[in-house]
Order: sequence, then structure tokens, then C-alpha cells
Amino acid sequence: MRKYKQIVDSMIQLLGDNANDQFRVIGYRNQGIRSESNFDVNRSVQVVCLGGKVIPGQSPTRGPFTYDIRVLLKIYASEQSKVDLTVLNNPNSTAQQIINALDAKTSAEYEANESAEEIFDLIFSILLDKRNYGLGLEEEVLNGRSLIEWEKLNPLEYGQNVLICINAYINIQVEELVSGVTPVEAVSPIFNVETEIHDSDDTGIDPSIAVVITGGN
Amino acid sequence: MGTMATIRRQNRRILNNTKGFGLPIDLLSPDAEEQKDVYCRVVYSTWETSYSSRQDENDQDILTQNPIVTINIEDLDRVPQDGEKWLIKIPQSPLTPDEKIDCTFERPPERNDSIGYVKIYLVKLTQS
Repeated sequence: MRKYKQIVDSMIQLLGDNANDQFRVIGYRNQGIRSESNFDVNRSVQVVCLGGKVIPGQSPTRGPFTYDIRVLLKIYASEQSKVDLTVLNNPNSTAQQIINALDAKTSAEYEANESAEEIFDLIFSILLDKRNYGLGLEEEVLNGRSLIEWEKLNPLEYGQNVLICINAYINIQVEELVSGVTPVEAVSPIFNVETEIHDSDDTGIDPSIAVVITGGN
Repeated sequence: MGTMATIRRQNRRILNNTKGFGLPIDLLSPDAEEQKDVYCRVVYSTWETSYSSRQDENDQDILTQNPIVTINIEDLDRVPQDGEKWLIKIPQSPLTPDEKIDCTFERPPERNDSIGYVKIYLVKLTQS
């Protein structure tokens, strides 16, 4: 069962190639992710293979072995409250102008939600694009992939940042041949058939048609 | 003097202590009333709630500040309420009380009327 690893690596590569500085692909590091204060691209995605399910009734010793793998995409977006600081920092601003600027302040949760939705749409478009049917691999590696479920988690507050996470689950059907752990060596044939050309013709056999049969092994 | 009155008095003395942990902040209420140099306690970080970190591309921790101010209610002309938009300017650090940063709050302030303080969880404002 090596193809699922190949598929996850290829998904990471595919997302990274198409990110266009819009988000960051973290890959397999399934560790705690929190918000940040001064990171330019505060949107990231983790690709994690959660497990697989074997389609019952198959014999792995004969023919291909088919199973489904479940890949989790964890999409993170964090944002801060935003306001027109030029008004706040201008010493000539009146108190009323500052209050008006504060009234126009956007909520960090709203900003984070918009950011997460945008990045989810982007990732959806990359992975489910028909041109990327093989997820960056040859199409024979996988039989099909589909987005089966997604969920948005509650916003979390970290300092001045609000973090929103969207979990998207993708199902991929894989077909694989079992090759075994040790490589199989080619078996020598029992008989070697060679043609020898003799220098002399004292055997009385025409050298041009002499055939010698030797035992194998 | 009762016990509660003693606690309130001591609370006020601690929060207003200009030689100790007290720091001056400025407040601008939603009705454009300004109140300057209100001495209160500003906590810039605690290990559990005020800092968060994540690793950036260079695998370095980036920290975010979550300042918390505790103000004596009797020092305020108007007590901040949930849902209001206030501008609260706090010193950038305890060492530079004159350099202030713009903050506001999004979580409801915690008001304790028995002891007489309000605790506000601040967020730093960023440019839109």
C-alpha cells in the first residue's frame, strides 16, 4: 500500500504549485496551528491522510487491490480587526472623526471567515478541476476522487487574531498491485541452447549447424 | 470600615499606584468623550491566555500580544459595555508609557461591581 503516500505527496505538490502566494501548504505536519501577528500569508492548508477502507471481497494475491483513502484538508485563516489607522494617528482628527472610523471597523471574525471561505474555494477549484483528475499523477494511479464532506469549526481567539478552520474531507479510490516486500529475482531457465562454431571438422559434423545442449543450473 | 470597603479601597490604591504597576491609558467613548491618563493595571502577557505562537516559514515562533487592562470603575466617567466601540490607547510597553498603541475590545468586558473594577481584553487595531 504505497500509492496512498504517493497521492498525498502529489496533492501537497499540486496545491503548492498552484498556491500563487495565496496560501501556504504545510503538508503532513499535523501539529497545533495558531494565529500569527505579522505573517504576510496568514492562510495555510494541511494535507493529512486519515486512513483508508478496503473494499471487501478482494483477493490481494490475484489482481489489483482496491481501497478508498480519506484525506483531510485543514484550512486555516486568521485575521485581525481592521480600521483606518490614518484617522486614528492623525493628531488633527477630531474625536468624532475617530469614532466614525471605529464605527467602520471590521470584525476580526468576519475577516477571518471571508478569508477562510475564499481559500476553501481556491483549494476546491484546484483539486476538483477536471485537468487535475489524477491529482498531479498519472490517471491510472487513482480511480476517482470526490469531496465528501466539509465543516467549519468555531472561531478561536488568539491575542489580536481570530482563527477559523475549515475541515474538508476528500475520498480517493486507489487500485494497487501487491508486489511483496522483497524483490522477485528472475529464475534461470533449465536449458541453455547455444550454437558453437568449431575450428576443426574432425567430428564429422558440419560446424555451421552444430548445436550443443547443456544442462542448466 | 467593613471588609468589602477595605477591599475596594485597596483595589483602587493598587490600580492607581503610579510608582508600581499602574500605567496611564487614554479612553475615547462612543459618544466622543475623551478621558486621558487614567491609571490602571495593564497586563501584557500571561503564559496561558495572552500569548500565542505558531511557526512561520523559518520555523521561528511569532508571538501575539493580548493586553488586558483592569480599571477602577470609580475612575471612569463611563464604563465600557459589550457591543460598544471604544478607542483605548495603552503604553506600548511599561518602559515607555508615553508611546501608546491603539486598541479596542471585542470580547465583553468583565465587570465586578462588588470590588469595583472592570477588566477589558484588548485587541490591537491594524490598518484596513
